[in-house]
Amino acid sequence: MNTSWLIARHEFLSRVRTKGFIISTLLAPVGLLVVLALPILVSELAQTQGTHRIAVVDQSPHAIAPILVAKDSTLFFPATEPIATLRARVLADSLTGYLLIPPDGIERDSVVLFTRGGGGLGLQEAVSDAVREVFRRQRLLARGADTTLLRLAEQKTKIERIKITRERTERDQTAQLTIIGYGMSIIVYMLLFIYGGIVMRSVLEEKTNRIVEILASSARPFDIMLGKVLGVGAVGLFQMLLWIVLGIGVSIAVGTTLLSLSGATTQAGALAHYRAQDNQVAMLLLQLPSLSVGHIAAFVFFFLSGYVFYSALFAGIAAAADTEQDIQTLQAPVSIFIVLPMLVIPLVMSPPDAPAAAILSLIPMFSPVLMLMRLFATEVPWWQVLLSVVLMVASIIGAVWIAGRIYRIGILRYGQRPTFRQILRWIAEG
Amino acid sequence: MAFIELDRVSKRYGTFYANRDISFAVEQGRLFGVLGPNGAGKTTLLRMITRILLPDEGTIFFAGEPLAQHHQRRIGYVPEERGLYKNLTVLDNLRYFGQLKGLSSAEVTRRALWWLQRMDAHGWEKKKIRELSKGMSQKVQFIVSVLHDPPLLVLDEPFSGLDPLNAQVFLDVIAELRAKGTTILFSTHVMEQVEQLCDDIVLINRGRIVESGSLRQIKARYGIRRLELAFDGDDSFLEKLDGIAIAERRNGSISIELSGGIEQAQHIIARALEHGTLRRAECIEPTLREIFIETVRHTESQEVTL
Repeated sequence: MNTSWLIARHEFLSRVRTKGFIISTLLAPVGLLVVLALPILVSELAQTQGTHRIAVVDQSPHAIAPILVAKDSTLFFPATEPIATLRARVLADSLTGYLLIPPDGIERDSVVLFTRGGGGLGLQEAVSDAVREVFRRQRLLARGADTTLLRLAEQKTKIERIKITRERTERDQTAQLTIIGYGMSIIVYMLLFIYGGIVMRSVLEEKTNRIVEILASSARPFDIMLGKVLGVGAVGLFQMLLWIVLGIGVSIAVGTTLLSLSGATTQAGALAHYRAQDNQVAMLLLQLPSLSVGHIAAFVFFFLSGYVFYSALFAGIAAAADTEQDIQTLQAPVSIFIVLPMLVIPLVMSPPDAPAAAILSLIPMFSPVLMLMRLFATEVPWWQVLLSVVLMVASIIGAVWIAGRIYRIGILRYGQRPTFRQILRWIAEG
Repeated sequence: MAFIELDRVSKRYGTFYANRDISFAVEQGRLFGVLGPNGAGKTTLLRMITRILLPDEGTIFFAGEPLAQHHQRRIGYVPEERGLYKNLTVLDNLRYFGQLKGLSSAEVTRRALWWLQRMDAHGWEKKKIRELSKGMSQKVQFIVSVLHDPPLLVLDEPFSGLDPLNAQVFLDVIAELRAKGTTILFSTHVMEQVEQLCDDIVLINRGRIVESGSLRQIKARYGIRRLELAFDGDDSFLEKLDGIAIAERRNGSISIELSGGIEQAQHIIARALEHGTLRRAECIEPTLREIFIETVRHTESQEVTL
């Protein structure tokens, strides 16, 4: 055990000091930030620049063009030139396009937009939203609708969701938490592969460089394996800790940025601004629910237990292999269990309380992804959580035991890649 | 008292015996050679003595106790193929492996620097292993095995690939360690080194011991095989003798293969004195190489006839 500790410490220190660790720790959240912030920035920029201009050719008897122009004067302007000229201007790129309202446009509820194509979905949506609203309004007015009534009809309804628990009523954040849970599960899924891969490559390197023979002349093979798994796991945990610290910093930065982009001074003002724009991402980011200690503990537990379970098996696999190709072949029956839960996520999410979801998430190989996900998406009964933890711990012990037996025999064996049958015999005979 | 003793030790891979019924003892402070052709089971044997592998049958004793995990701290091991972290520096490698043997970080650093100096490797400590030549990394590997000052040193083919200059450094250090009382066990198939260095040997073939004992005992057992005469006169009397063969005749010196040992040699010398002037006569013991080849061939032909 003492040697395991020395080996784990060596693994940890020699990895944390590398440039690769520092770079990946810094770049991963930057990448995440860019992915999250990009759509908001793009939509903000698109809104403020207003480079699209559309000429409205109104052939209807209802004078719709002025109403459209009044609604969005940065996008629409009344056409003064003949269609042939407009067409030439569109082709010369001095105009985005022109909108033709046919004489019976309102009656047939149809208009024609001429552009050179492109412009994105945003432009199409902006045009069709505006036209639809104006048409609806005109039709209602034509039937003698009252303007105050109209205003009432057009009012947007706000749904505030309240979740009832035994202790208290609180704002229901199920949607946000589900998305966060989904994100967490994907992070765990990726980390299992990344850190499992590190363990696998490092075991193979020590085997092919014959370093393991030196290690085995000082420590039991089981302790070597355990030390490596724990040392690399500590690197993962440390990286996660740095990300949490970085994440707090980044979320403060994002909040401030969103606030200043919206031009509002208060959180509520900014929220109203983005609601008006229907900017879902920005709204979500502004309303991020604060995670409970339980959520963070679940994340850490399921990452660590999944990591130890899979990386121990990966260490055994690498010990049985001689080359990267051997690893590719041998790891498949283990890797499949990391991938499978990602495929059944839709099943588990609809709804997350169903028996099928509960059973799937209790299978230890799946728990790190599925139970974690359910813990965010719903209130999992306490006995299920407990059962999951117990099953997970038992599976870890089993996986480490099996991997230890494969490792001990495989690590000093070179030459032909063992068959699965042989590996089973190693496990049975030790 | 025997420092290392093996009692009917066997190691099996499936149905194949890498070592079978191996028993021998190594006295403290001796230089002990494990000899055998490629694939004879030398490496498996050394791995069991260093407790990298556990025997399937039989017991190994270390200083009188059954070999246990904690004895590893008193054993130094140089494997046949070099095993060092290529991306780490010489000093980081030495520190890590030294700490695994129970040394403190400060102690291991002090000793590592001393040993680098001793092995003519001063100033390498900051170099990465990948920058070192084969001979250089071999020296580092050797230092790994002696950092913790083990009473038992196990070397698997320690001299393969060393140039004569470096080999001499190794030989000197080994001689020093031996003078200090370190028991040294090494495997090789280079017979000349064994004759030069070893006190005792075991010769293994196909996993079994085929010969063991002190070098002198073994040679005595194989007896006199050859007689060399420097002779002036008519040597035709040799043709009439039974049980000999003339191996070589050159510049008045004759090399004769004997079948009757020392008595036959003395008989030939007596006859030679009658037939001319005998300037020199020498009874030659078999070289270890000859014993090796003969024994290996003998055991293999036996197995074939079985």
